[in-house]
Amino acid sequence: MDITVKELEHSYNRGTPFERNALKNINLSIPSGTFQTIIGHTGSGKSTLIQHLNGLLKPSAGSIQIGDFLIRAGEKEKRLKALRKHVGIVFQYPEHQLFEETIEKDIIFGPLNFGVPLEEAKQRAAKLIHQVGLDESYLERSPFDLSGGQMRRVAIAGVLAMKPSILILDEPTAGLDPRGRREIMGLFYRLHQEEGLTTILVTHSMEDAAHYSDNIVIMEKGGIALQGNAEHIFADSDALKALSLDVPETVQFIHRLEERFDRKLPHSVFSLDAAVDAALTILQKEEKS
Amino acid sequence: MEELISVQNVSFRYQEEHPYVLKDVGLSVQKGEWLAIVGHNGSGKSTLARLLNGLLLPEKGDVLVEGFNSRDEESIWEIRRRVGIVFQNPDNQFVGTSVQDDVAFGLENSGMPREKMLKRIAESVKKVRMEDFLDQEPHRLSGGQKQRVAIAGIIALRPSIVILDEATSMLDPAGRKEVLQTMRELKEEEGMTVISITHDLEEAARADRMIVMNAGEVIDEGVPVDVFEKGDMLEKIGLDLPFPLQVQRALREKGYDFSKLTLSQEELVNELWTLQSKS
Repeated sequence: MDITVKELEHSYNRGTPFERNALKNINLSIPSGTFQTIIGHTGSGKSTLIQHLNGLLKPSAGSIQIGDFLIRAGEKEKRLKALRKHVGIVFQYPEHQLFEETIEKDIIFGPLNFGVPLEEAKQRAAKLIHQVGLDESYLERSPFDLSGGQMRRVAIAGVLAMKPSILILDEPTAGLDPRGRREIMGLFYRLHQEEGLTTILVTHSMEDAAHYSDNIVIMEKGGIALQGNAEHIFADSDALKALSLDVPETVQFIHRLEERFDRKLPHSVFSLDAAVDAALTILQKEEKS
Repeated sequence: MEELISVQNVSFRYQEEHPYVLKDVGLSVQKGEWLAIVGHNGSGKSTLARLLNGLLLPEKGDVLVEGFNSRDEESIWEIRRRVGIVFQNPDNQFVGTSVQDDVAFGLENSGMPREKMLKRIAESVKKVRMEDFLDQEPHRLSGGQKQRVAIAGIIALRPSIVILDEATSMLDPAGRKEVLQTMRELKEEEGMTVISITHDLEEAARADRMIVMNAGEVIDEGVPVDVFEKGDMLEKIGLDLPFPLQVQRALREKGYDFSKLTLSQEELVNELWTLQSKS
């Protein structure tokens, strides 16, 4: 399902003295199957924006088209429940939302709620528990005996169990250790490719943004400050610095090399291997000369 | 060097018959140092922090803080006064309705006269650069600001050690920088001893000394550059290496020999310069 956001505005506490404009004139098009990343400081409007994508928040002005669902300011989209079946959100610290006695019950809660038969929901749970890196023996256990990282995996399985075609991830790796972060991002990227999902990732990690995204949006004060693919976004480190954001470490490294060795190097370097290759080019060329 | 904390052969588990969360842990903390304790989720780091200020007591072994043993009931308050902890979640440790009230909370509990208390609050809040926010309510503050208020509440009690228990892991990059910068200033200017429990290895790389924990045991200890030299071990237990080190390791495999390992990009580029001018 393609997503088209047109002239979206949102203000909190409308009509009161506390009115605050959280989103201003957002225009964004996310074709089906895109890995879209949203970056921005706390308070830049990222979370407000994603809550519009499944109707948790209503626009104050403008519209959001998701497939054939249309959410417009001042109008009621009567099929919000149907929309929410297609759009899964993994909120920040999703493990705080676990509540059932067993892990299986927690995973199947969403599907049952959307009318999936019990047997099928259970089959999904059995498959998903593997996909998130745990095994079936966990299904009968209480989610509250798990470590934080494991609880998060269970919570993620609960969102995936609804088979969303659009998956929204709000800082899904916050608070995890490096291995946990890698594993969770690896899982999402695999799902993105295998299931042909549209994935929308909200993150502070420039490395993840550079590594996974087809398109990146940088938000600032409720508006979109920059937009484009990783190559485009990270080519202009001055623009990012002006927004007090960093470029990925690999790009910083390339800039330093260029400066020290007075050489031009390719800028779209987003992996360790590519950074090592750049260093090798410098070492080898200098040897030959 | 003066030893502030001595942990001797400490083992701990939360319930009998459950596995030990800490196994025969020994370590010492020196006055004025920044000690990073790293390890993956569930390695026992946070349990250790709670043993260091007497929130938990060892099942075996002893924890001594400036000579006070946490097993000794009369010592426990002496220990808690000396060791303050900043926890992970900024929203779970804000107890006051304003910045001022929050910082006052610990002091009120210690029964300090009002005049002296107001002076202490002003001092502490200034040290974390939150003096312009004295009357602000917590929900108007960012995560980084809340953590700085938590630090002010702790330093108002004049502890000798501040423990950061993953205190920056829920903050955005700007908030993280803010909090670490504040702690670095306190260390430099006030001689505060800092124990930082973290899995941010870039941060650990800037510590004076680091301890690596895995499955409840201390498996390595030393200055960061020496610990990072054993990169395979760190990767094996699920920790990442700082980026400059990863580049150096990859280049070593290709036959380039570095005279020394470096933890910052600046040093790495200098090392590459040296390599290239040698050839």
